[in-house]
Order: sequence, then structure tokens, then C-alpha cells
Amino acid sequence: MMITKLWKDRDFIGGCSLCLVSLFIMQQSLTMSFTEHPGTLSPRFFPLMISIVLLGLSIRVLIEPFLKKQSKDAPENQSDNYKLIVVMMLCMFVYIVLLKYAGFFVSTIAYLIFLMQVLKATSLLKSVLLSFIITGLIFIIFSNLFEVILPTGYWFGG
Amino acid sequence: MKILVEFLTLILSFILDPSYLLVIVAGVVLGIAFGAMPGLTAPMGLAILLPITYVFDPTKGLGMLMGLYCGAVYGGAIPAILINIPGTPSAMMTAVEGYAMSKKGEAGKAIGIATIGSFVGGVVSVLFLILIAPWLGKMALKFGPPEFFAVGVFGLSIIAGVTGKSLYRGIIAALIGLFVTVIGMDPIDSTQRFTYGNVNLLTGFSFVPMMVGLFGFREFLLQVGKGQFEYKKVQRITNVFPSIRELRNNIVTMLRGSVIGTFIGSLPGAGGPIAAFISYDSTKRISKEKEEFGKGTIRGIAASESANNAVTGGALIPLLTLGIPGDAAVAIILGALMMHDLRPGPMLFQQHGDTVTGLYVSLFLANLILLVVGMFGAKAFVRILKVPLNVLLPVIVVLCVVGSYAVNNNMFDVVVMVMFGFLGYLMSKINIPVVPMVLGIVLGPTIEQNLRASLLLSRGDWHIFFTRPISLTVLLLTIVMLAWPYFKKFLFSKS
Repeated sequence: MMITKLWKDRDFIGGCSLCLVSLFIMQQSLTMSFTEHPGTLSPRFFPLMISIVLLGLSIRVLIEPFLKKQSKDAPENQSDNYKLIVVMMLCMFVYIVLLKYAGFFVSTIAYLIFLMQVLKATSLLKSVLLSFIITGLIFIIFSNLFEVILPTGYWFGG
Repeated sequence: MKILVEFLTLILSFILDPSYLLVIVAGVVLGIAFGAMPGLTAPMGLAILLPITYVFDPTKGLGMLMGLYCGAVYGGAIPAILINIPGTPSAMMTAVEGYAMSKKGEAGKAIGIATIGSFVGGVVSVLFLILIAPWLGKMALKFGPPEFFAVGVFGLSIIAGVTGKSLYRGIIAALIGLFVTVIGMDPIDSTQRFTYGNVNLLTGFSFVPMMVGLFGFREFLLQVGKGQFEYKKVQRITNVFPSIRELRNNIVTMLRGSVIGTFIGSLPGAGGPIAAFISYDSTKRISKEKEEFGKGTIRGIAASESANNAVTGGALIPLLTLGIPGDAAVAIILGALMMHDLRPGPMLFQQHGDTVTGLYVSLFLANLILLVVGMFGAKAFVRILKVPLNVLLPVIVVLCVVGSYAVNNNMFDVVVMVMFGFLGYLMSKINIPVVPMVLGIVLGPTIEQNLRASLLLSRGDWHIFFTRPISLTVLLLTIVMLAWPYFKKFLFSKS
């Protein structure tokens, strides 16, 4: 019961992740290969120090749920729509891949329409219209005014 | 005197060149839009605009960012007055008085006094910046690597201490930021650290994608997670111009707020919200009409807005002289300076005096433009609040992607932007603030390089940091700053 409760606590999960990250940095710093220069610090000194302090503080985060219990602090319960966050992240990765293959114009229009529909911004027709206008404006501003070469996509010979 | 003559000559040349004025106007307008939309922030606007300014020369690019910075701080007052939601944390006290005035049908007057207060605050802070920064810069010429190391650690610790819910979480964020700067080639002997054979990582992560991710994409995820895209009904505004008598009655309040704001702004980590609160509180204390506060008095708005806009000039003092950014927005401006090969610190005044004077002029003109745009465009800015956030957010994300890509024409930077945005989102969810992380990223190279250079100087003797008076004093101050919250807790629990 206690373990299940702990795994639902953000601090506990965050503390565990931070501990793992700091241990990883520590291990990588210790096994780093470099040329010795007498009279100065080695390149591994700085990351090693960071990992040691980070480990100590991560443990402090890890034990936070136990301290909360003592001080009767209510855990924060701002529940986000995590499903939507996952969808947004997946959508972003698909967009990045699409940018490479379909280029800026096609992929941005598709991405904007999808996003506006998922976020229930406006009707499908308006979303399509807005996406075309916004993509066109961004394309004109960045390509012509700022001379940025936006991806044309492999499928279109880019 | 010489600097004032240079300043006035440059103002004239800027006014005569419409392209300079145009970029500052664009910056101010965009800034007001970012500040006015709850959910969009000044650092977000600066981060998105950062890659765009790269195409301009440093003076124009920095002019645009100065405009955006001032505009965004001021813009926060608009939703604070009209819908009781501060667009930026600095407008917190403005909301108290502004919304109360709004309900009485005086929203226009509240916006007018906020605009004039912001203008006075901004201009006074520029004057302080012009007078103090070169003097402090000359003093900093005496600094060597140990002093710069100490100042870097001090800057980082003070900011870690004042942001977020607890000191140790701020330090965790700063450490994550410091670690990010370790990735890539070592600055002394080019040893590859944490690169794993990836050529994109040899020079470390680019600054712009990291900032765009942390302030653009992270904010997008936070807003989407919350799922609130609509605001309350926007109040109507009528006459924006206050009467001469009202102006005369509030000028001292504005000047006092400006001095408070400049001073608080020059302290790293303190920032706009604290300045606005102190100015509001001190005005209330000495006011003969204390009971009017909280019910909608223009004096409260004048105090709050003059102070939070004065922070803009104040925050640039430690940035330009010592390379210490006071908050996230200024950290992005530091990134912009570095993008243009301008390294803040004492040498900046010696080697790039023209650019520094250009920056002063841009900040001054930005405030002047803000006054004109604010007074005459207030009704137009109200319309921004009518744009639903779920229409605006997709556009922001696309701008984040294009902005990150534009820096090096490289898709790797887009991936970096997304990764940092997601990392920032996760950090926010476990109450680890991102601002100290940004400062870790900005100050990391200074701290590591100066630490190693100091030890090279002393042949590995750590006493170098404690035998030089400036570095010793700054390090002692760091310890005091870090210990203060615990000491204060102990002291109050005893009493």
C-alpha cells in the first residue's frame, strides 16, 4: 500500500530519476579518458562535483514524501491532462520526421490542422483555412525577410 | 558627460534611421502582445525572437530585444486591469488596483496611468544604467579569474535561493544547467565529454534551441496540460488619458517606484514582482488615504508599474558589467549578446562601447515608443485578449520549431528544443524551477573556465580564492545568502 502510494508521488519518482541521472554522470565522469595536465584540474572534475552534489540533493527530494507526512503537508494535486501531453509529444515527433520528408509547407499545414482540432480551437474548415494562412505567412517572413532556407523535404527533391 | 553627449547623438541618428525605429517598434508591439496574453511570457517572446535578431547587426538585434523586453513587462498590466489575471508576475499588484478600477468603469484611466508609470520607470532606470554601469565596469576591470569565479557562483546561488519553492530545488535546477554546459569539448584541452561520438554535440548544445524549448515548448505543454483556453469577459475601456492633476499627484510615487525598481532590478534574482510589491507597499504605508488601497486607486498602479518597468534598466547593470543575469528574460538577452560575439563584463565597455551606448539608446527609445503605443493603441491591445489560446498555441509551437531550425539550418536543434521543453515540463511538475537552470547554462562556462584558470595561476593551490579580498568577500556573501533561509527559519522558530 505504502509502495503504491510512493509511486504515485511526483517527488518520489522525480527523486529516483535524479538519483539515477547523477549516478550515471558520476560513473561516466570516473571512466572518462583524458590527457593529464599537471597543475590544473582534469576535465572530469567539474561533472564529478556536479554529480556528487546532485546526488545528495536528489536524495533530499526522494525523502520529501516522508517529510511531508510528518509536517502534514498536503501533496499538490494539480492533475494535468497527461494523455494530451503524450499526444502532443508524439505529434511533435511525427512533425519533425515529416519536416524531413514532406518539407515545411505540407507538414506544417497538416500539423496545424491536427493541433487545432485536438485543442478544439475552431471548426475543421476554419482550421484548414487558418493553417494555410499561418504557414504561408511564416514561410514568407522566414524565407524572404530573414533568408532562412526552410526544409523542402526528400519527397519534393530537398 | 561624454557618455551623455554620445547618448544624445545616437538618439538623433536612431530617430533619423527609420529601420532602427521600425525594429524597436516591432519589438515593443510584439512584447506588449506577449505580456498581455496570459500564458505567454516575456522569456518566451525573447526566446522566439532571438534567432530572428541574428539576421540584424548587433545594435538593431539588441534594439528589437530591448523593445520586446520593455513591452512584455508593461503588457502584463493589460490583462491584470481588464480581467484580473496578471499577464506577467510583475503585474500582480497592478491587478489588485487595476481590476477594482475596471469594475468602476475606469479601465481606460488605469491603463493610461500604468503606461505613464511604466514609461517613467523605464526612463529613470535607463538614466541609472548610463550613470552606474560604466563606473561599475571600470571597477570590474580589477577582476581576475578567481573574482569572476566567485561572482559566477554568487550569481547562481542567489538566484537558486530566491526562485521556486525551496532553496535545494533551485540548486538542483542550477546543477542541471551546469551539467548541460559540460557536454561537448572541454574548454581547456578539448577533451570530449558526454558526446558519445555525436558530431552535433562537439560544441555543446546551441543556446537558442535550449531557450526556445525551456520557455516556448515547455509553456505550450503546461498550457495544454491545464486545458484552460478561455478567459473572463473583458472589461470595456474608454478614456485612457489621466488629468494633469492626477499626473501631478502621482509623479512622486512614480519616481519613488522607479528608484526602488532600479535598485531591486540590479540585485540578481529579485526581479519585477518583488520591486512592484515593495513599491506598492511603501506607497501605501506613507499614503494619507490608506483605506483607498485595494479599492482601485491610481496611486497603487503608478507605484507598481513604475517599479516593475524600472527593473528592466536595473537588471542590465549586473548583466553588462559582470555578466550576471538577474532573471530568465535577462539571461536570454545575455545569450543574444553572446550570439553577436559580445561578452558582457568590463571589457565590453572598452571594446564595444558603441554597441553598449546603442543598447542604452534602444532601451530609452523603447520606453518612449511604449508610451506612444500604449496610450494610443490600448484599445487595439484589448483585442489580443479575445484571441483564444488554443488558436494561438499551435502557432507558437510552429514558431518554436522554425526559430530553433533557423539558427544553424539543422534539424538536430529542433530535437534539442523539444527535449529541453519536455525536460522543463517534467521539472515544473516536480516543482524544480527552470530559471536557475537557465542561469546554470549561462554561467556554467564562466564558472568552470575561471575555476580552472585560477588554479592554473596558483598551480593548484585553492587558497587563491580566499587570499584575494574581492573573491573572499563574494564567496562569504554566497555562504551567507545560502545559509540565510535556514538561519531565518531557525531564528523565527525560536522566537
